[in-house]
Amino acid sequence: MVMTDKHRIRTDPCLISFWLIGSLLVVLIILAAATVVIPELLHPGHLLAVGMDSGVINAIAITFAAGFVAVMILMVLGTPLAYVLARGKSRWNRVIETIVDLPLALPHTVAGLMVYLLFMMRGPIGMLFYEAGIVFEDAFLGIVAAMIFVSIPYYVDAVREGITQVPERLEYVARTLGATQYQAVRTITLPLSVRPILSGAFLAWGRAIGEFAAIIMIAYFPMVVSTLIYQQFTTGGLAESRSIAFIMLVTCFVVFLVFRLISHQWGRNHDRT
Amino acid sequence: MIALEKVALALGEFSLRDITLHISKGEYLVVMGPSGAGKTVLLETIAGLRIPDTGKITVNQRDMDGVPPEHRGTALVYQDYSLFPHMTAFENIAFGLKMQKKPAPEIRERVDSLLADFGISSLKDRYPGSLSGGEQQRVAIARALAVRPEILLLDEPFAALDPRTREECMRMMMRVKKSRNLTILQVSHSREEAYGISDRVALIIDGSIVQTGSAEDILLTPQTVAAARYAGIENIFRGKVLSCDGTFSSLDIDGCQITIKDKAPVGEWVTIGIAGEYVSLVEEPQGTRDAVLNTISGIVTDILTMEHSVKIHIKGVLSLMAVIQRNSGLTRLPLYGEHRLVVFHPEDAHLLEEGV
Repeated sequence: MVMTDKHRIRTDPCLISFWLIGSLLVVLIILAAATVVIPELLHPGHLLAVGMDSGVINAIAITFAAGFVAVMILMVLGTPLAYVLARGKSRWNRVIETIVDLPLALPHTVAGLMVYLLFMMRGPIGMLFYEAGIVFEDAFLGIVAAMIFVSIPYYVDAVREGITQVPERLEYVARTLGATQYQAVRTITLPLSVRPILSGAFLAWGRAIGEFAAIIMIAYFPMVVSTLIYQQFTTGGLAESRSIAFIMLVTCFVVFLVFRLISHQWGRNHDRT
Repeated sequence: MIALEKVALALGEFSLRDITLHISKGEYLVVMGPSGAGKTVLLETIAGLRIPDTGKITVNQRDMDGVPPEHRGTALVYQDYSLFPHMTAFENIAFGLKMQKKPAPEIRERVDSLLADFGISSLKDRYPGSLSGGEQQRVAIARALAVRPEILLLDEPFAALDPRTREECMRMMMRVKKSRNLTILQVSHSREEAYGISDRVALIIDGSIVQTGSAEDILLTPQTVAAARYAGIENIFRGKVLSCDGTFSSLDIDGCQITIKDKAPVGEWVTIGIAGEYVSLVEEPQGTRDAVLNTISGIVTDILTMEHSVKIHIKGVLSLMAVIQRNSGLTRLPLYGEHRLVVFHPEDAHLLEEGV
């Protein structure tokens, strides 16, 4: 009897043991989620009341909108950076890559402090905008600035890695066929990097909407979800904060599930044989 | 029409050293050389994708310094064809015409005609990932020709193809070259391609052009030791020059006296090469020995039967490899351990320069 691939994988002891070990992590996340989800589902009335609260709706809207704006700005500024880092051969690139990764390693309070010092009214960037009538302290733009800062490495690293996978020879060929460097990047490299660009954008967005420490240092108000949950936790108690956490959990799960499902469709012709 | 004058370029582990090369319009030049010799870098430099550190490249007397790849009139086809994976065969071929902002009807007409020329019309809506090597290769060449380049640069375009497809593609390239009066530079490792399609061969070793000439010149009478090793010259020996009469020189190689038709400095050590094709076997005993013919007696120690030839190793005072064509007059192949006389003419043994 010919064994199908599917059959082999199902019974392979190596894969089974890997599944058993690996599933501990998945179980950990599911258990954590259950501590929020189960009590909430047992009290639907309370959940609904919290869900209809305008403060909560506002916080969610601000969080998602700020995350969206942050990612848009990140895509515009981060994609060219990712390209030069992917294609450049200079030794200095390693230094720049390390600088880009700094927000990843820093405690978020440190990142928040840096963002505050930079964007506060007397800060080097904040001052320039202040003259134009734009402030970051306790403002939507402050949230956006903090979100961009902490999610830079998530976006730039994902896109840089993706562009590295696009053979430079494709650009070379495009050049000899009459494309300028700009045209070669626009018509060849970027379309072939659509998957890493979008997955970098989602990673960065996920990172941005989850930020807390860096945001409260520059903009405690308007409240984003993480600030609101913390505030509710310290003032109102566990039940209030858990309901908001539940809404956030479900929303994020749905958004990321949809992303995973449709991302399979992107660039399905890009796999070279 | 293409002239490279002392072009040098250092690029990590690859480098080009003082490359001087002239290629005339309509010429088919095959560039041969070992891996890492700088062949691909040479093509990329001509295409303008790499900037030489020193030296000058001209095309039709026009200095190419500062001319970007998109304005050079050269099209490049890589060994892996480098088709754009997110575009169909049609879109791949149309790419250059789109960049030239040609009107859509003209693009369609030209691409359709190329698809027909290359017999790939049925593949026009397919993506590269679903095409075979030979099909991808046709699309890649059609894409390069779509922009009507003056110079076509091919980087081992047939290396990954099966023998039959390769032969078809070689014939196709000959037709293309003739019908379009193209100048073609093709990097290759294949002796077959060198003999079959080249007007001239340039041998590049370690970033330098060591020899240019016909395929026979390069593969049977290389001028340097490195070139001889690349060309697969079977018999390379070092010996001391005993005498030289102005035409012939007599050498002592491992105690065996060999005559070559070359001027060699008496008392010096030199290296000579003899292509296995020029070494023949005669059965012992046989008439009087030609005074000038080099004759060595030995025992057959190794027989390797190839597709078109048989390589026979004879161990004597001097061990030699003879390459016998399978369809030659030799009716009976020698057996292991048999005695044979190995003979070669002095004019078939060549002095080789040391180094590359």
